[in-house]
Amino acid sequence: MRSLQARLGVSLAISLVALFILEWFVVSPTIRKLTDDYVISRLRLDATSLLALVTISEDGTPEVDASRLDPLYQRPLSGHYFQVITADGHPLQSQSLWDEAFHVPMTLPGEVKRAEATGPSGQQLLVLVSGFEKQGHHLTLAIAEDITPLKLDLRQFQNAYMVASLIILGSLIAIQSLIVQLSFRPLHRVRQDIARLERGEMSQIRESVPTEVRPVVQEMNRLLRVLEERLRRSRNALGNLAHALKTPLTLVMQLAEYEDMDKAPEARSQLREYTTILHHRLERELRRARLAGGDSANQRLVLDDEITPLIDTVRSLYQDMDLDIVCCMPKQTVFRGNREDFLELLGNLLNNACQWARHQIAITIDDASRLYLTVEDDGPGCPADVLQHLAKRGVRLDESIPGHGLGLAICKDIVQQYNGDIVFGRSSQLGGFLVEVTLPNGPSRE
Amino acid sequence: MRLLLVEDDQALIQRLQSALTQAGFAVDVAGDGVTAESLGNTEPYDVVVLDLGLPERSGLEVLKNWRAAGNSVSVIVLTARDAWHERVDGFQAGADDYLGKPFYVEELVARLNALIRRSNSSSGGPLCAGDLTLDETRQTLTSAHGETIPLTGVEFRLMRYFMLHPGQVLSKSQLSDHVYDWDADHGSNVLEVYVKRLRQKCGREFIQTRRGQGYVFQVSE
Repeated sequence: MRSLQARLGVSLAISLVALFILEWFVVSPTIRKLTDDYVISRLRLDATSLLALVTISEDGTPEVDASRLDPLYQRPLSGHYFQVITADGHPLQSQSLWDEAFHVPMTLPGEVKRAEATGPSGQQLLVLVSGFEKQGHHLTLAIAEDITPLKLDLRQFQNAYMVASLIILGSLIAIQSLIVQLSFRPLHRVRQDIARLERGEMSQIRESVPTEVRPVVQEMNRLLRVLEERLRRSRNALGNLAHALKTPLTLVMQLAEYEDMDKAPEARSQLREYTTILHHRLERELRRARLAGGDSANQRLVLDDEITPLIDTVRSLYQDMDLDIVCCMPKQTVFRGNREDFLELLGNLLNNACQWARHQIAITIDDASRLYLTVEDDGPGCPADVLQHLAKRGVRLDESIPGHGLGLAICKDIVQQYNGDIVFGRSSQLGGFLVEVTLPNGPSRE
Repeated sequence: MRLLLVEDDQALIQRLQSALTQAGFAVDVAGDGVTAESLGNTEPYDVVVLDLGLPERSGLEVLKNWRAAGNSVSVIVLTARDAWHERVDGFQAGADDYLGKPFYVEELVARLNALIRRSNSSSGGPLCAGDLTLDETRQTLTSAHGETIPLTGVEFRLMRYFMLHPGQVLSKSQLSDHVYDWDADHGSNVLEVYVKRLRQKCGREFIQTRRGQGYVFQVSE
């Protein structure tokens, strides 16, 4: 779907442009008509006073009393002209016309016409033609004014008006898009919040948003809380289940160690075998079920705070060994995933390394677009044929390395859950077992 | 060695109590967090086996409260909650060791012995003092001549306490606090009888009486 903001902006701009075009087509002819009307009304007055000065001779030739005539009509090409035409005599022309007549349509007495004509030296004339009866003669009086300068003024006005309109249109469009942008800003913030949520920098979307989108935001926040709560509850339930199952399992395991069992070595070894299988299966499935995985939002783990307590824990568990565990990683490395999953992964890798190492274990963590994690030790390592076997897809680790596969199997489960890769090999630095893990470390949506 | 077992499962308590007593510990049992916390604060235990999933107050909270109150008793956490983040939290709360369920009692005993050795800052290996060596699994004493002397339960506990605190004056009440459990009848003359028997077994010179103060386990180099 196209952006609401763009759609709103474009339709507002189109309606503004349409409005301005409409205005242009209304305003421009109206001004034209107003000026014409003004000129005509003056001409009408002039016509009335001129009619009073006109006399008609006996042969029907019109004559005018030049002494009382407005000098404008006597100055050549003054822009003010008249013609008086009778049915049978010579037409009378104002001196200003300089013997160049303009076309006059014939009129009946009492009829008034408005016309445009071309006058001397190409002047544009607005002509008022009126029909009269005087001294028993029918005469047509045409009075004209040059409107070329007026038209020029009008054009100038129209140009200025056009420029002003365009400026106003432009600024209105700009103001509108600004308003649209401002009103969409809260939505933009919601989008930023969601991005930050994905990066794990916040746990809830801020609810200070417009009423229209608040229900959506509130619903999202509610779902986030529900998800978090559900994960917490199911983890708790699993913890309780583990607790409930493991204590009786301990007791069953002790059965095999009773002295009475000395008489039945076969039963004892079977009991040991089955309780071990039970224990491993239980452990693996419980831990797999506890994994949060890489899909859940709002997770951000600063590794600096986690690595040291974990290494201390491993050291405390293997106090009798003289272990040298070093960790090399950039400061403030962030893992976008669950804390418990990460501790489970690295804890199991370290535990495995401790079981094999003589006294050196090295952890390397590098943070690029993916989190790169290696754990290596100076133990005997893993024979090449076993490594080849481990590389196969679908190999069950807890069955492929007797005794120590459970931890690695759990690691593989965790890495799979995060769509990462886990590779086993031989450490070139310390000579022992090497585990390389790569985990996606960005927002799940690219 | 006086041991506090904090656990709420009756069957496991029975099994552990007998196994730990056999291994030479004077065992007291607390079934919930509140009892455990107050017992741990009043009785001079050498080591505590602490379950985390307890009624009334969680084991982790009990441990944190002990540490906050300056109680530095050695604690081994014994729990079904043994995911790595729980182990990290356990050690951060002040645990000295962590053992996940299910477990073998032998492993628990081995870890307890190692823990006691460490908290008394002895090195690893069998407990030695002078010519004497104490075998903790068989509960026997080996003298300089290679002679193996079997010890009874109380004798073993007493001997181990002496050997872990060489050269220190140990009062009778301190000895009985660490050798007997809460329910035992511990009159002071009973202790004198045991000291007398130990002297007969390992030699008079090792355990000296300080009149009005108690006993000193002295090793001549």
